[in-house]
Amino acid sequence: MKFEIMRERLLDGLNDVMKAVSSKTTIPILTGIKLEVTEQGLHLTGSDSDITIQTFIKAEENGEQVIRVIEEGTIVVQARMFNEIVRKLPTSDVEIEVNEQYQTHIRSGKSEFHLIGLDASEYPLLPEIQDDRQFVIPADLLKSIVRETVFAVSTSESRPVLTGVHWEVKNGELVCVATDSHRLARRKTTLEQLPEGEYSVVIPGKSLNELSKIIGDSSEPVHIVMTQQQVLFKTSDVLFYSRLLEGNYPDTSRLIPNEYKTTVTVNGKALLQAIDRASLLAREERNNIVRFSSLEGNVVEISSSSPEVGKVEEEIQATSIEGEELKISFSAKYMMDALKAVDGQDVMVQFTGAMRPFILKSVHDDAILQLILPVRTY
Amino acid sequence: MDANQNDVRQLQPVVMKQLQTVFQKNRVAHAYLFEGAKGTGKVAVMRSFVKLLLCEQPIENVSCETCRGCRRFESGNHPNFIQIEPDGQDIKKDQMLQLIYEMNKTGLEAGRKIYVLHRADRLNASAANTLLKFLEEPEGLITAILLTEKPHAILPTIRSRSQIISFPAIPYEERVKVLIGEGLTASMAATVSMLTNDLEDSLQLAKDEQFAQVRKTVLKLVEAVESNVHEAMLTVHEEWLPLLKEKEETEQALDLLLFAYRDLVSVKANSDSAYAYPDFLPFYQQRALHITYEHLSNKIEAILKAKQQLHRNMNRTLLMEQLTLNLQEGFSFV
Repeated sequence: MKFEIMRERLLDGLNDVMKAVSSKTTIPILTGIKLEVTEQGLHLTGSDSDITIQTFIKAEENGEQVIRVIEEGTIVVQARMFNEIVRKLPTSDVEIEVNEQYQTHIRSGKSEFHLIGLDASEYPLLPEIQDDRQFVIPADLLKSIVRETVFAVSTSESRPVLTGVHWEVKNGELVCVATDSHRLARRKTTLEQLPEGEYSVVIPGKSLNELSKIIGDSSEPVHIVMTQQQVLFKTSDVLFYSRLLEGNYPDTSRLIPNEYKTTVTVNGKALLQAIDRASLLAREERNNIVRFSSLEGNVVEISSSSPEVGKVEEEIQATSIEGEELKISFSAKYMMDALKAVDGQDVMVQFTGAMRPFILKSVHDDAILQLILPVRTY
Repeated sequence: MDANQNDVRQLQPVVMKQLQTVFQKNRVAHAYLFEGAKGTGKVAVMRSFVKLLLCEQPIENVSCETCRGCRRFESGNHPNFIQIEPDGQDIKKDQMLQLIYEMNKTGLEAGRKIYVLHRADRLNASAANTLLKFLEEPEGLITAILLTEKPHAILPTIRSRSQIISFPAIPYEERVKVLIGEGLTASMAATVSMLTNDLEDSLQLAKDEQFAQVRKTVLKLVEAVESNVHEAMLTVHEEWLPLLKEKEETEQALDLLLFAYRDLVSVKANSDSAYAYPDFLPFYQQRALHITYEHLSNKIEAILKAKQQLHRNMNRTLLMEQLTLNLQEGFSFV
């Protein structure tokens, strides 16, 4: 294998791939990155076994030759070392040559490195992708879907399947649900291009966090392919694979109440700030609890107290309050997370009594739904 | 460690046949417990079995050695295979949580995922309980292999959830024969084969000068205790204690001492069982006439008790003095 490449382009590619490489892996080959050169260009692959990132550098772009391929081939080289070397090379062109014993020569100007490579056939195989099983979401929308759901995943590993977000494609909709069994976040998205059949996968929350760091804020389309083993997010030059969580995700549809006794419509930002202030005192207490009570004349009172520190009360003007009078307590942190996820000015909060879960959503649509379990107080 | 396929089959023909049949009938269980003494080839059999499970084109229930699966298993790069060793003293709960978390994700590649717990008897209680539920009902195609030398130290709840595969020890006579073939004296071969089942270890021990010295001292102590009552304490102080500085060495010496009394019981019972010190036979025969079974059993108990106390870090000088007095009991106080 032998090729020449522009250093800048190689560095760009390496930057993305390095995000997946971890030094803590138990599988020795994963400390390396895989380079695969064909006539079309250069594939770089890095993985920590949970996520795998592959980038593709085209041999020719806009009539400009980026890579001059002399001989095709594949090799795995130590990721950290290779990255550092390429970063510090003197000229803007890099020549990489691999001989039979996986000896890798990296030349640039007058400097030459010899690296001992590894056999590329030892590198894990990525799943084969069937093109008919994919759907498309714009990058910015994907990012907001992740942002609005992933915070609600469980951090405890006692029920591993809850550390992921459940993605379900059904009836032309993508429904993403995350819950840690105290709160739940659900995001519905209508898809334009429908894949055949129904899919249901659980994607680890950590992988989704990594994903949102990698995809940009543009409206560039992201192709999503779900396979048995992995899920693939594909943009024009980066492929992001993640492993899935095994096991059945609990049926969450029945958790969401159908009828409500009290409905409060209120400015989301004002409520968020009031709860943030109230939580200053609540923080002293174990559960970070704030109280929410509806008063006469469309006013909502947020209060919190802890015996040793003091107490706080604040009234907010709501747009409307319908139904029964209500006093309820809940975790300020959960409420703030939920409010941040619901976009739009006005937020509708619907209650079914002080001991039952309540939901938050935007007044305009049903796309985002947040459910929180209240805390029992005396 | 990497015995090739033929060696493994010679070492444990019954076990290998059993595992190959399981594979052939496609009835691989979710958890296996490999139990057997040291040197019975548990690791070699485990490696060969796992390789068979990961092999892409097994030929007649033997892994092909040439496919990607086999090669990556050999180089430790197979993504669907995880091994866990005790972290310090125990296998800890964190290790189990991490394993379960890892196993709950779909494999990097399709196919069976396998995890191996080395020295599973070292699972501490909370780790074992953490593993229980997952061991019984893994999500997806997962096989666990637990290796242990001490099957009785495994929680019964774990035993009952795994298929137990016992590794019979390689017969004692076989091992002695091999060792004599390697150039050891018959008496040394008999002693080291009693101490360990592993041929490699036996050879190493037999060539160790310290070990020869320990063996001699132990025999001297037995002789002193049994016939020259006054010398026993002197032997302990002048030879035994200066020679054995480490806890492990003392433990080994106590084992050797135990074998000596076991021999004595065998001689008295006229049994044909193997002797750890065949060179000492004349002494035994003479001694056996003077001692009752009850005395012998008391002495053996005293040694076993000393072994326990050694683990509790008892002062070793006191430990040996107490043991010597206990061994002499019959004489000093009658």
